[in-house]
Amino acid sequence: MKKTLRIYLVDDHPIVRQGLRMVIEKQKDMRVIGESGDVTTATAQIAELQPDVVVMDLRFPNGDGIQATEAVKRNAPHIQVLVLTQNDDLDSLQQAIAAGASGYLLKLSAVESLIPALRAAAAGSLYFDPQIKALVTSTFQPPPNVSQKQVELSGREKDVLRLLAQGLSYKEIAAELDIGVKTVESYRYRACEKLELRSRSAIIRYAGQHGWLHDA
Amino acid sequence: MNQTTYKSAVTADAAAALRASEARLAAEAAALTRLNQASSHLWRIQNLRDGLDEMLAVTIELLGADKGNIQLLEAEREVLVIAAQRGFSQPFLDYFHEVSTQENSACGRALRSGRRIIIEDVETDEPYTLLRPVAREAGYRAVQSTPLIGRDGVPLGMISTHFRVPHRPIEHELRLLDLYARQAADFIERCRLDEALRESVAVFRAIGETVPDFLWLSDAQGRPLYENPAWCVYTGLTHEEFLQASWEALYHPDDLPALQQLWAEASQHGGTVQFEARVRRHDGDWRWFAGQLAPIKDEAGVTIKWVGAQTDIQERKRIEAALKERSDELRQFLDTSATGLTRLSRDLRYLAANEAYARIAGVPLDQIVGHSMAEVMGSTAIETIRPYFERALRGEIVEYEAVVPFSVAGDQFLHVVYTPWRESDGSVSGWVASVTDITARKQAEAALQSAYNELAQSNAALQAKEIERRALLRQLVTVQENERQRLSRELHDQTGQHLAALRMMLSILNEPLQTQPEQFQVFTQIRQLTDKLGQDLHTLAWELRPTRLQEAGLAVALAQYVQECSARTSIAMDFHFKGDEQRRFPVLHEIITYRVVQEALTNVLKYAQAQQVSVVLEYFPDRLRAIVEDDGVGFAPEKLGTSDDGLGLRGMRERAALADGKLEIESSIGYGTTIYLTLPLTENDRPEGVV
Repeated sequence: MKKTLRIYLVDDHPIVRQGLRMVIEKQKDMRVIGESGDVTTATAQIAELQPDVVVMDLRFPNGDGIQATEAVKRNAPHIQVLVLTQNDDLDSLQQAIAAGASGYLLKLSAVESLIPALRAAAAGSLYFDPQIKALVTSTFQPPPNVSQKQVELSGREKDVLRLLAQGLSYKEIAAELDIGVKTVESYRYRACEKLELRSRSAIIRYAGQHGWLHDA
Repeated sequence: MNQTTYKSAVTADAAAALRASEARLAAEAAALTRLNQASSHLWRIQNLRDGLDEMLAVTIELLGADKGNIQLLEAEREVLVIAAQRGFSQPFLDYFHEVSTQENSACGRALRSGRRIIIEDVETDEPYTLLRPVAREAGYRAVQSTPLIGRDGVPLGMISTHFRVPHRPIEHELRLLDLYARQAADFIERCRLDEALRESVAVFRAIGETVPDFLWLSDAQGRPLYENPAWCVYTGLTHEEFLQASWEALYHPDDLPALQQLWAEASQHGGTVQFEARVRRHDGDWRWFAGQLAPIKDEAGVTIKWVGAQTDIQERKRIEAALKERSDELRQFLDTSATGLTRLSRDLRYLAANEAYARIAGVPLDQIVGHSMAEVMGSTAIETIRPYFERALRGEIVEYEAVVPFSVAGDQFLHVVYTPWRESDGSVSGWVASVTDITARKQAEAALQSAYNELAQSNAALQAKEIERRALLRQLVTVQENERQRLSRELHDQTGQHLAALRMMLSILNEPLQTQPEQFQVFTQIRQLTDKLGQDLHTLAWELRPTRLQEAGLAVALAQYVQECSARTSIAMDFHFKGDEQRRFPVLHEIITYRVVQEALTNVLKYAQAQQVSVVLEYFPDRLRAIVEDDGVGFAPEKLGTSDDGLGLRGMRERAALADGKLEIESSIGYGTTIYLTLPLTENDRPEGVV
């Protein structure tokens, strides 16, 4: 016989707690042993009831889910805390993990992620909402490649790239070099083709790397 | 002695005396006759020298002298010069060549006293002492000198006779001498007069021969007597031909009536007349001459001759005509000028003026020229302009604009230039005034000025309104931002929670409803709708909330936004930042920049079909710049100008303008779109240490 997972809910919205309870209690091996709308009451009850997992919101009218998570983990490190929030930003994620949370769920996708997250928490592993995962992944994108191509640029092409890197518009460059706007465009695209630079940011990086931005 | 004897003796004496007196009478008669002959002879003599010789000879004979001389007085030097002599040798002539009144010779003393001097014996005459050697040498002992006195009492000369022995002429001889001296003086005067007359005739002829002018002489009736060569050459007529011709034939028919009238008047009254007329030259050409006709009258005042003179004035006439033409032209030129011109003298008198000036002064032109400034413009006006013309009189060129209160024309707003009028020696004798009526111009200027003022006022009002509007809009941006955050929080904290709960509760129904297909289908639709609602709501909340703008600043917030946006859309977005991450700007600038970039990215996502998006943020000391560039489809730049471009560009521009910034868009079809936002930073917005 599998041990029933004892769960405590902390959320200031009763309707959310009700929904959570409905979803959780559909599972035969899970039981909500208590719930609260404010962190102070919750902290006290959690210490008393000793649930296996706490589902914790982050924002409260009179309190802060991060601090509550820290308190729970400080008093009873064996209790797993799953953060369930509307906040889909990296900061909140970072703070939650730092406070000792075992998972990070977004409320809108709670229907899909809550049960797997609870099981993962029970098993002592971490769980993150897929949407949060994408955000985390984008943070750890490798730095964009800087073109290493050694290509000979014409004087005008180099001028155009240098001025683009300095943040000038086509019109400003055209005036500066006394040529037409269309001509500026075509110099740019020819030079970018040669160097395989795909954006203005790439041009700026290339210019910086070649010391073009200091002699201006 | 007896009576008879006595008687006969007496008779004899008487007879002798009678004879003697008869002889004396006869001698006197002979002398008188001789004198008379001599006098009439003298009258016939024309030559002075011959006359003097004759006179001397007669005098010597008359007085029974041995030698003698006649001296003529040179009045200017007051010396007597020997003009005739008889019986003297050269040393004497040399010695007495010139005798002054100072000398003690007989003639010298006679000249001094104006009376005859007789020296009976030079050896006993005291004053003659020094001259004795001369007298001895010349061989005379006695001398008499008698002055020759003219009609008007002026001494003309001296007639002297000398005697070998001491002698004194008798009274009778001296009386005859006086008579003769009278005749002689007349002769000398007559000779001198003749000479003067001959000279003047010669001079007249010489003048007549040399002058280029025409001279002629005619008798009282106008018959030609003399024509000078110039007159003959010009007309081509000889004197004989002049006699034949009528004078009228020489003058131009048009001038003739006036000449004829003049001649009639002149011959009637005998006065001098002057005329100008054209005279025919020998070749038929006509030239202008100025002439004068003057009568020569005898002592009774009767005209005996006419003398005429004519001078060629053709050139003068031509110059006069040319001058008149020039002057007429100049006059017309001056009078058609719209600028008033006038020349004034140092004593404040008008020397010249034109019509335009007369119009300005309100006085007819003929009442200006020659009149004083006081008469034309009045004393008040003079005092108004005095400082200016005094400067001109000191030699300055003066230019001014002033209201001049003319006594007749009233106040005139004038633009005036004074130029000093200089004489040939450089002195300033007056000035020339160039006067333009600028009343109309001033009125136009005033009208323009007031229009400009009105415009400036309404412009200022408009600007004030615009500033007010901007201020309100800025306030609105902040208010809007707060409202957005409130909304975002509301969606997030309330609606979002409810939707989450709704989804959870719906999920409960999933299993039980599967048995009832119809309901389940509806149920599934409700769930899908709820999911969609949740997604939309989430996106909306995310967009409304600049998550960390206030705490972390623009650079951090934008970096995060671009990253999240890229994560949500799986379009490669590349954020490049250059500057100090810690640097902060006024809330308005940060909000505007953040929202404009957000809007630009929203546009990219909606329209561009881009694969690569660059967001560049750069801080400069005096401005910040954000660039959003995509490699999408772009659009035709023509679309940019329109107000409803469908891209929210206008809203972005308005936001930029709130921070006095500028939004530029560059795009062309196939080459993507780039949006440049530039916000200027004032001194206060800049970080410390950066100027």
